[in-house]
Amino acid sequence: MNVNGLPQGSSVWGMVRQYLPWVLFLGFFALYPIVFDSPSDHTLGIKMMWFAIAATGWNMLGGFAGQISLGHATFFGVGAYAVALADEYEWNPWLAMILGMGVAAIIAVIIGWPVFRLKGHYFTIATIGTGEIAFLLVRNSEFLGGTEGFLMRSDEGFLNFYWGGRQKWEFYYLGFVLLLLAVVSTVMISKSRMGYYLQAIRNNQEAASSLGVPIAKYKQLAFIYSAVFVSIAGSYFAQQLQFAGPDEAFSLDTSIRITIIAVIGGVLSKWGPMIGAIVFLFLSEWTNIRFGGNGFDLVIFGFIVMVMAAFEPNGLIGLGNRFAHLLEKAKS
Amino acid sequence: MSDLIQTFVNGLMLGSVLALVAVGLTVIYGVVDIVNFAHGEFVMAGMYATFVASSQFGFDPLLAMPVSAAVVGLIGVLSFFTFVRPAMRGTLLSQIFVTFGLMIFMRGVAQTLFGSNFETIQGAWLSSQRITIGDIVMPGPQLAAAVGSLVCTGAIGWFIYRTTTGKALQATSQDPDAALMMGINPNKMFGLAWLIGGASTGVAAALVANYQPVHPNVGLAFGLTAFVIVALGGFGSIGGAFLAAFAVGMLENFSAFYGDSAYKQVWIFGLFILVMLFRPQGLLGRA
Amino acid sequence: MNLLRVEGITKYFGGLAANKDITFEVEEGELLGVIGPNGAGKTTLFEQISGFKKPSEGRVILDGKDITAQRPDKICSAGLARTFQIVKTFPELTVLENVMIGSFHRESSSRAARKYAGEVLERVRFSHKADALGKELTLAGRKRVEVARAVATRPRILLLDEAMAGLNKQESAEAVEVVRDLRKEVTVVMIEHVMEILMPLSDRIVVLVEGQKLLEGTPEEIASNPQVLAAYLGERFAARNK
Repeated sequence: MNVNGLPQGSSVWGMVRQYLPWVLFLGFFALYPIVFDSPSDHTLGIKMMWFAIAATGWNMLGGFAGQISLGHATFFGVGAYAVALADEYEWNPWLAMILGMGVAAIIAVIIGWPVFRLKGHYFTIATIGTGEIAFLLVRNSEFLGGTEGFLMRSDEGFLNFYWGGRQKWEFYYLGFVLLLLAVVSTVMISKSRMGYYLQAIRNNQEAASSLGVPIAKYKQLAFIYSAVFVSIAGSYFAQQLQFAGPDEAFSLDTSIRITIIAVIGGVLSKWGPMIGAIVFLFLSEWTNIRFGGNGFDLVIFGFIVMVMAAFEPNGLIGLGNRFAHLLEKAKS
Repeated sequence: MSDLIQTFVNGLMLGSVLALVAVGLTVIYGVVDIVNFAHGEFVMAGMYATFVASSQFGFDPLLAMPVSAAVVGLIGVLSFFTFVRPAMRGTLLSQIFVTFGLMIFMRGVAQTLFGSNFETIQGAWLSSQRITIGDIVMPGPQLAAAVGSLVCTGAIGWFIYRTTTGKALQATSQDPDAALMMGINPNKMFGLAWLIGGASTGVAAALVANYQPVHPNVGLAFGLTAFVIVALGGFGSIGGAFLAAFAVGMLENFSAFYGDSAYKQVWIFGLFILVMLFRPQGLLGRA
Repeated sequence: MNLLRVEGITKYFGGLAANKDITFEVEEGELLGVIGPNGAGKTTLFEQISGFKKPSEGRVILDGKDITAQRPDKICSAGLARTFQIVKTFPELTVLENVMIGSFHRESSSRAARKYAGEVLERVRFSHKADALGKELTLAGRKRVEVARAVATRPRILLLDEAMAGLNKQESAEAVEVVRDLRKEVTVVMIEHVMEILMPLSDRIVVLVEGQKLLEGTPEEIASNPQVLAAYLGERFAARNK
């Protein structure tokens, strides 16, 4: 349960526990497109990237600060629509993505003002509300493409934020860089005052505030951070699909998916969302192949989330920690 | 003028169905202190139960009502004793995630079993009935749903406020530990709350199935509206949920009447966020 | 000049007055005890001083500045820290991290915050539990962490709300020693239900009964006052007849 990655004593085992996740994580994501080198594998890898970026962003608010949002599709949508509009009006997609990050931050501040007055499940329900409002507004807006959304036609190349050829490893590694950005900034925050304050807020708001933590300010900071990274994931997603539509980007299903990924991996750890992205991707692909795309993946994910909530709230990371704990005990 | 009255009547009919759905949610919250994020999926399950009873076994949806109530009540009790109870000992995160997981699970099961198509119940007796007063039309299914929901909501209110078991439920909702000292088994009461919450939602679902097609995501709109109603009325307050249900029923019909029906949910959520800003405990909630 | 001045604090819940026109002052360096039977409004008073509840009437002045009904974190910045009667330890953080949340208030870097938190744990004699999680602690341990966290914010005045209630003899003797140490550096206001603990520690004592200040004075004056005895004896008598 040590969320901050502090060394557990100075033993070799402690060092291993501190650095092993980095090695495993960097190794896995760096080698993935080399080991799995078919175009369809690369497509899956790209999907895995935006899952991981979005869930990592979500987790700053949902995991660290413990404010479960089911409305983050709004920010995913902002990112996706930013690059889609850029394509429509022939702006640069990179600039559009950065602009989208800014818009996401502003919307986070606007939404945060009412919803952070609410706690616990009230907060969660309110975020479903803001998410649905955004979804309906976009769906019914002519300027934003209505129910159809936007089909995009980017040219290839780095400046155009797109590679569409048979081998998509360039686009994959671009996602990898964005993910690194998300992870490194998460790690830095988690070790800073903000990281500690967010955990204090999750654990007990009254106690935190009695110790001088300005609750609203730090929740808002976490919200902005998570909105920005979820919007980056949205831009990356739309560039890959060359499409942005309300049902894909702004719907509650998108919020739910981001949340499942983080929860399965473990929301109390910065690595959880990445583990979640890998597991989520492979489980959903496997069920699609094995059972056909008829919702059986939801049966499995729903079941896992219920089991986790009831017996190991910190997801797969929590299970791993328990296992490691047992090993340590067995050794001593 | 008659348009306005018609809209008003529609609002009343919708409001009473919503009241029953929301009362199921608020009973669970009030007693067990857990928000059932799968509540919309409870409605969906009840509608499918009604659909199967009618299409496979030839029950009229009205006769399928007990089946739907039993199925959803059972789902409620089972989910409580398998996953919800252990999650109650956990943190707030666990308590939110457990019914969130249930929601995903139930949607998946529905998609796997029934596919993603819209299914409509054919040949329901009610669908050929209607009552007309002047220019005002009350289609049989909607009217029956409204009346049935009112009766059922009243029955729940009577049970909770007038019977010994109901009082035990109330005692548990106020303080489970104290209830235990008085010889009430809180776990039984929690299970009972899930049974009542599930069964009443099953009744509402069977009534709704008379006039609305069912598909795996049909629960979404019901669930969201029920959350809003319960939050508006004050979590755990039956009277508050009842009033708020009519407010939402009216808002939904009048906003569609005066504006674009595509935006009706925007109004509902807008109202919700406004009320939360100025009266976070809801209209009749305890501060 | 006094450090804290509570001026005519009144708090209504519905129609009932939980606190009625309470006024007292705390001098710098002093240890002020607040006693009173259950339901006398002691915790309600603390909640209002520390910004968790808004007084219906009256003012709280800290070092000449009006801090009435400010946000708890602002009041903490002004130099007033508190503990909770019903402990609110951060269960998923270690003891050291719990205290760091306090020390971050004056230290922006994690390194400095960790160092200062370590020193505070040393001072409250709890270093041996630094790596235990909040949820693993006994009640005595949790109460100790509450005190350490509050001290780590470097307050000028510390409000302790029943820091010894529920502890056994040995635990509360240890806690008393910790308070004796702390008061050398910080002004302390202490609520305690048990008179026997508070009497030898306090410089002065305020007695609350039924939401009002019955009297204030030195421990000797309080101990010999017939009204105080009546209030306490009355409570014991009532408790027996429950």
